[in-house]
Amino acid sequence: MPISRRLLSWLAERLFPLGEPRPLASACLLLALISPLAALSGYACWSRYEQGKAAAVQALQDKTGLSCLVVAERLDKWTLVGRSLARRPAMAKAAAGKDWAGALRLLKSTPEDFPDIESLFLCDPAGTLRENHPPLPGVRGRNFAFRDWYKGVSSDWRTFVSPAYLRADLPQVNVVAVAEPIRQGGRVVGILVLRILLETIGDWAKELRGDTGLSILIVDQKGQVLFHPEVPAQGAIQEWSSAAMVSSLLRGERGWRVREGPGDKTGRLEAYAPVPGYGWGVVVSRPAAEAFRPARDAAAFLALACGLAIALTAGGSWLVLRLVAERAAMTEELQAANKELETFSYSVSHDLRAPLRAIEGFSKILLEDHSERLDGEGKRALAVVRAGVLKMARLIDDLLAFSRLGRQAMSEASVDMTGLAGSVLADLMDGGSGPAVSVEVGPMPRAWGDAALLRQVYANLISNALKFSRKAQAPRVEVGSRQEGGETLYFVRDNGAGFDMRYADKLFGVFQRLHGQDEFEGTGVGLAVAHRIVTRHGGRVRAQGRVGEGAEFGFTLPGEEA
Amino acid sequence: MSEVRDVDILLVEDNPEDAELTVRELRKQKLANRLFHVRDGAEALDFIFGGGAFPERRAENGPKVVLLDLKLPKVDGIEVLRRIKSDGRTKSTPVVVLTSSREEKDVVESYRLGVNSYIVKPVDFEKFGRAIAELGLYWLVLNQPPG
Repeated sequence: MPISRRLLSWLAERLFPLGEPRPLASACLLLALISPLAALSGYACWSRYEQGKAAAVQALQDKTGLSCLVVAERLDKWTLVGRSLARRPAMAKAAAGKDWAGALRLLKSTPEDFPDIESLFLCDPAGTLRENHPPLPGVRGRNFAFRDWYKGVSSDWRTFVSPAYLRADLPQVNVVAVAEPIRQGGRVVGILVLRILLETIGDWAKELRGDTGLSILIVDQKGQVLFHPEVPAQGAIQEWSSAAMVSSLLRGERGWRVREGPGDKTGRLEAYAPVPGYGWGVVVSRPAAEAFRPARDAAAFLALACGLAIALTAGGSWLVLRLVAERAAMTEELQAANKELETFSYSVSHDLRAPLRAIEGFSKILLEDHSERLDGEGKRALAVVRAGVLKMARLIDDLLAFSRLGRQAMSEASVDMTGLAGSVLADLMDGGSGPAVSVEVGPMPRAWGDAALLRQVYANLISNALKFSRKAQAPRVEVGSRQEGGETLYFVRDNGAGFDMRYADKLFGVFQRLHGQDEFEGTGVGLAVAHRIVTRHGGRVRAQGRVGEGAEFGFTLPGEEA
Repeated sequence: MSEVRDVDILLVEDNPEDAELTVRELRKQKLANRLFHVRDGAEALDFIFGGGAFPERRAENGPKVVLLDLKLPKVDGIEVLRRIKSDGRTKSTPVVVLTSSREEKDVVESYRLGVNSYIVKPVDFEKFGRAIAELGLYWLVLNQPPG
């Protein structure tokens, strides 16, 4: 028995002794079977969730990076505008000649051309405001060197984008300034400052957000809020530089985090990135539950699938084990029944024959020692008694042989059918039963089976053929094989008494006979034995015949032919 | 039936008819003069090893052949065979198993235990007689057991 089957039966025996389940053992086994699967599934689900989460984070980081680029691109545009205005030769010349009114004239159409530019003004290199447009009152002549924009631009005389501040001129609103030095022959002769309202930056953010449901925060290089959906553009400027994320941003770092909210559902996934070249930063966030929902759903789906698979596996193995156990129990029952049958056969063989021996033996004594006191009729009656006894003895023997067939273990091997038939024939002819029968054994392919049992098949079929052809004119018996429907059919054919096909189905039954005892002797077990043997080999038997024209008995053996 | 002391053939057989027929056949072959018949396994063991009803018997001076039925009351034939063949004093005594059983396990078990011959009692007693006669001649005449 292969090791796997042995293991299976061993398990089944422990779990289902005699087909009854043993709950604790079953549970333990199922647990042992399932736990590695469950662990594996758990790991798979977890890694699927982590993957999904990473994808969500990546998507948000991409969005943040994109937003930074857009903000940088807008700022690039305004610095470019400022630079091209400041570098106009007429502008440089006017500023160099301190003709601030002339210089401003060159700029007057700018706010109309670029609506994002709320206002602009010109300063001298020391930071004193000389001209502004629109001409808001109260600032001309004032020095603004304290402003961030002045500090920024004057540090290296390059374009500078300032943090947000509350401007001095009325109406006082929060703006950012783009400061651009005006040069004449390599010398700084003035400063052009463009101002952009915080609302404008808010518009960019709203544009970026679109209808994605994302929340966008833009901070400047001081960590002040330029845009936040809940912080109004005007009013006190909020400074968040102490917040961990904003301080990371100000150091030029990018990253993400999950900010825990007061409840499970209010946590937010936030990704942050610096705006390259300007020191600003962008934070894009969305509710974590929403961001991670696809990851969670995918993991949940996987978990469900795994669970189902595990349940099926567990159920399947339980069922298989149960079937194996049931079969084992059934086999045990069968073995018990067989044992009983064996005992029964033993008794039959022993006890039924003893009285027969007595009848036979003592009737013989009667014949031998007391025959002078018996007349002819008495002797005939005694002879009938003795014949009856012998016949019954044969019936018992045949019946026992037949019952033994089902119990004997088969030892299968490649069998030389030609040799087997020949040897059986030799044995039968040796008995001197048929004088003038012509017998022919054709070459046959080898078969797979139990040689001793197949020998019995041939013995029964050939002796039948010899018996039933005995009364034919020229008795002929043929043993051979032919291919039929992809199978080898081994046959034994005779030209004897034959039979009526109407009774063909009765031929193979035990004690079924088609001929009277006075025609052909026999107990009617031979074909039943042959049938049983062939069936045990997994083959089929077949009988064909016609009254007075002979019969053919054939059988197939499905085992591999060597 | 012979004296208990000088016995050539011990017949162990519980069935009186079988016993009678066996004795008859042996007598025909002139082999029944020194035959003793016991009816169960216990009695057979007593006879062979000298106990019970046979205190004067000695295992060393056993019968020349034992004809042993397998299905016996009290102690069965296989057990009697085992005892004979496992005792140094009796294991060279030829034992012929006579039984109506054709069951293979009996044959196998008997041969395993060292039976010298095995005859299935046929219903036809003429054959049985011939077989017994041949066995008797063989064991008692042709083949003297070692002294």
